[in-house]
Amino acid sequence: MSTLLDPQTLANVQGLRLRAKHIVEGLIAGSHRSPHRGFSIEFAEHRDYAPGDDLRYLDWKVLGRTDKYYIKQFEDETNLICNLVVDVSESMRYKSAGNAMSKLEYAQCIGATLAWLILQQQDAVGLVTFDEQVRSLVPPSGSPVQLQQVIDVLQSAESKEKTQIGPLLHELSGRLSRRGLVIVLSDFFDDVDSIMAGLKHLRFRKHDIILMQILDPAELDFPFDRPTMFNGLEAFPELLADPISVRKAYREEIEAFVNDLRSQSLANQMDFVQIRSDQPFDAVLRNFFNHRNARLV
Amino acid sequence: MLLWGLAAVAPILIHLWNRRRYRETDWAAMKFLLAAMKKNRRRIQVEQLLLLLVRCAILLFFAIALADISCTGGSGISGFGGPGSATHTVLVIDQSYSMAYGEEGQKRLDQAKDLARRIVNEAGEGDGFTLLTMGRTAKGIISEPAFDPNDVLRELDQIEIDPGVAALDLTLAEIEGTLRMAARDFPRLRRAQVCILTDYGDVTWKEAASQTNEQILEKIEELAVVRTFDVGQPQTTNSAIIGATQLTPYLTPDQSARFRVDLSCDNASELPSQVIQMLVDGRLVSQKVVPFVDNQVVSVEMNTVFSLPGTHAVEFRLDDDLLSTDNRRYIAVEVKPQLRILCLADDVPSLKFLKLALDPSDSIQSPVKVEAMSASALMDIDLLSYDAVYLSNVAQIAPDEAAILRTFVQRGGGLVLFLGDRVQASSYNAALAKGSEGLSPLINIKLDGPSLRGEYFLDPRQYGSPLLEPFRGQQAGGLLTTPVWNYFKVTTGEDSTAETALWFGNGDPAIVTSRYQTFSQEEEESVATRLGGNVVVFCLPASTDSVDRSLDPPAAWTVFPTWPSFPPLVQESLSLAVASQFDRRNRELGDVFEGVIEGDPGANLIEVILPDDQSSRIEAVARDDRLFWAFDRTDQIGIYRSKSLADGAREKVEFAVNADTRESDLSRVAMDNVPPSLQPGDRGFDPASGGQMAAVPAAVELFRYALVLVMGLLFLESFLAFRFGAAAR
Repeated sequence: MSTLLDPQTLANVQGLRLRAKHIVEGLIAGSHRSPHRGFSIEFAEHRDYAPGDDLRYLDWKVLGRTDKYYIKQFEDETNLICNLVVDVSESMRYKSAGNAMSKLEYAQCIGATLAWLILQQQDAVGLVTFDEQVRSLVPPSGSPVQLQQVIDVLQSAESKEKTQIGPLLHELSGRLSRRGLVIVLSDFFDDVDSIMAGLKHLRFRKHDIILMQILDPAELDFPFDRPTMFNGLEAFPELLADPISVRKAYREEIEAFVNDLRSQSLANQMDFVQIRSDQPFDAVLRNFFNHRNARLV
Repeated sequence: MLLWGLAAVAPILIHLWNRRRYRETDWAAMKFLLAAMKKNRRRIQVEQLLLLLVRCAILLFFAIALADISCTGGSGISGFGGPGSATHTVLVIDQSYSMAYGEEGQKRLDQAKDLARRIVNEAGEGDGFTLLTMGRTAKGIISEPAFDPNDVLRELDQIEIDPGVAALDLTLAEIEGTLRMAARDFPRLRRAQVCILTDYGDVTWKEAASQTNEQILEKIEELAVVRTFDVGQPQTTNSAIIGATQLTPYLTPDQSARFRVDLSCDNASELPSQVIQMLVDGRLVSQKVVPFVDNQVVSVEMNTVFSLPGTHAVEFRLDDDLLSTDNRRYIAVEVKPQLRILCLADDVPSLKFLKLALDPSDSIQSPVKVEAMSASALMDIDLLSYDAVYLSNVAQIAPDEAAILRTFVQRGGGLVLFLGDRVQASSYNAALAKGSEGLSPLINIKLDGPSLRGEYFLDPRQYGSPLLEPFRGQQAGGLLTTPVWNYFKVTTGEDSTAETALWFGNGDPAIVTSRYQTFSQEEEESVATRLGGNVVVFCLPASTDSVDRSLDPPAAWTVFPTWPSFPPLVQESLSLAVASQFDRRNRELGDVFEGVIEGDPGANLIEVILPDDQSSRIEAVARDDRLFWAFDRTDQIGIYRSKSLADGAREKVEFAVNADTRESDLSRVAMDNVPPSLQPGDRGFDPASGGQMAAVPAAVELFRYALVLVMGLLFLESFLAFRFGAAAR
């Protein structure tokens, strides 16, 4: 049964901003707990007080116990910085028959919603779209106009090139100088080891990494029952196959891939969320936030 | 039907078609699909091939089953698997005239028809019938299997008696041919039976166990079950006229004409005597009571006088009994105002002895008119107006003359040759030999030349020849004392048809006779024989002029022309010479009659009136200044007449046709002479089923096995599809 926040309904809503707004409002209306509890400014270290320092950051408790002046220093003195890294490669364009949104459209909605929520709690959000290279980069900002910028870039993304996630993540780890939260929205149809190498690089730069793997239901279930000519995206050749006879093996293959990706992510302290592009957004995001909270507590 | 087997390729076509008819979609997770395909390619190929083979096999065996059902089931499902699979029944009805025995409605033929109808009515759906009759020939009334019982019944109703002797060997051959044809052209008739309905007459069946018949029967039994149905009776009473002949050699007006009638009866205790009537042109002229002796031929002589010349119909008639076909006998006689005889010699005066012997009275009222001419006139004479030609000591016969003589004899004329000192053997040998392709020698003898001088006597041996009839019992008749010092030596070939009627004491022939016959190739393997006139060769001269010139003074060959034995022998030679004219007009069923149109017919068409008063128009063909016509549809017993189409023309008796009377002998064949499978019995009826026809043993039915295979393959296909599908899922 469709809800207001399932892809089927939202596909009828024009404009990414409007879609994101729907999702955000739906999320808030449907929950008594703040959806942004998971995000907070993190304490980093103390330093000695120096004249001119803002007394707001003086640690009064330490002063009371030790008579020494220490200033509380935070990881980022501003808001949380979240970089949304969205895969806009050709494979994201796939949308199975009967599904309302392509993987890219779904990723766009998720990205826009997350940007909205982050900005709403005065944090900064940035955006990177990529395929085999970075297609656009919106530096993180907490300004109110940032949302529109993010949405505009997301909306204008065209998927037509191959994916090369691993090298791109290496590149990003150099370009995202300020540590923060990196949320990667992709199908991750690439070599797992290569992907992990890039992610590890980001992780090394102290980024907190969340992998959101968006897959079309057909890619998981392989529901075809008649001989089908599969036209490969991202420069793969076309292939005529009898789906019934190959279904089991295919499922085994993709399951192995997902498991590998998931296990390596967790091993490297990265969150991994698998999303089917027919799932309602609220359920996806709520699950994600719950899961995130549980991990942070 | 087996073309449906091509349906077996349908799965392959569907497979190929499906490979062409696929849906198309973009696909992102290609990497995993390729990996899956790579991993399963071999397994998938094997599975698909296996399924394809099983599906093809299902359709193939189903097609075989369908084809086989249609072969065995007639109209299809009705015969499905049961004993009612389509059967080819060959009905063979004996139509020889012994089958006419019985009262009206209860004749043997009627009983046979009733049985045949029962067989037809009890047949299953889809059964086929062929119908043969066993008469003088084996006739295929329904030559190809008929599947509508009404058609068969209709044809059965129309079968009538064939007044002849049944030919069993021809019938068996026809049965075999029919079975083979049906097996070849009607494969769906998987089983066959032959039902022979006959009276087991001895005449028809006594040769049943001959080697040829046994061989054919063996072949028949490989193809069909043979059943025989006996419609004969063990005890019969039948009187029959089994022959009638004209005893007077030639008939002239107002002279007594004698006839001999042969009769028989197989049960004289039931039928001790019968009255035989003689009718001339439909008028009763004589009748006699004939006492019978069981199974013995009784001969009766009957006389009449024909007052008018021309052809007349003579009928001998017995009262009707249980077999009426043999109670009538017909003779067509020709009464001539005078018998015309032509005597030819190189030396005409030498013919005086011959003329005197031929016509001792030499008067105008004489029944014989003898004309003596020089042999050189032969080419100028119309021989066809003569009844007999005598050549006396003619030196040579030129080829043209030989051709004229051959034509004369071919048309039934009698030819008598007297050989004397002038005769050149080489000329005669050439003339008498085969004329051209297809012609027989006039008489198959070889003239060697005059014998050495000696004293010879004539040896009649057993007086077996009709020529010697006057001398039988007449030792003093002069035959044995006939002085002969020279004669013309002839030899008959080993395979010669010529018969020696009288011999010299040294064994050389003195008189040789032969019936001229021609053979014509009518069809591929049948040769028609046509009988011509008689040829008689006297190896002695008909005058005393023949002398042995090696002696000085020359001495006569013989005084035979002056001896008492000469006139009777000449008279008998005349009787024999003209006897063929009687044969020409008295034919058997199926013979060809050749007639001549006398006078001006006005047209070359003639109407032949059959014994049943049906008529048929025949076109005459002009030959040798005459119009000849031939009639071959002599399938009825009786008198055949002709009528010119000219105005005011009257009907004329032309010829008589009689049956071969062997079928009048109703005695049954001794079953020891009949092969077991052709012996009568109850094999055709199944007493357990209340007289129903016993089932013919079932043939092996392929479709059963094919259907079982189809069922098995269907299960296998389902299992494999499930198994492979489950594996894929």
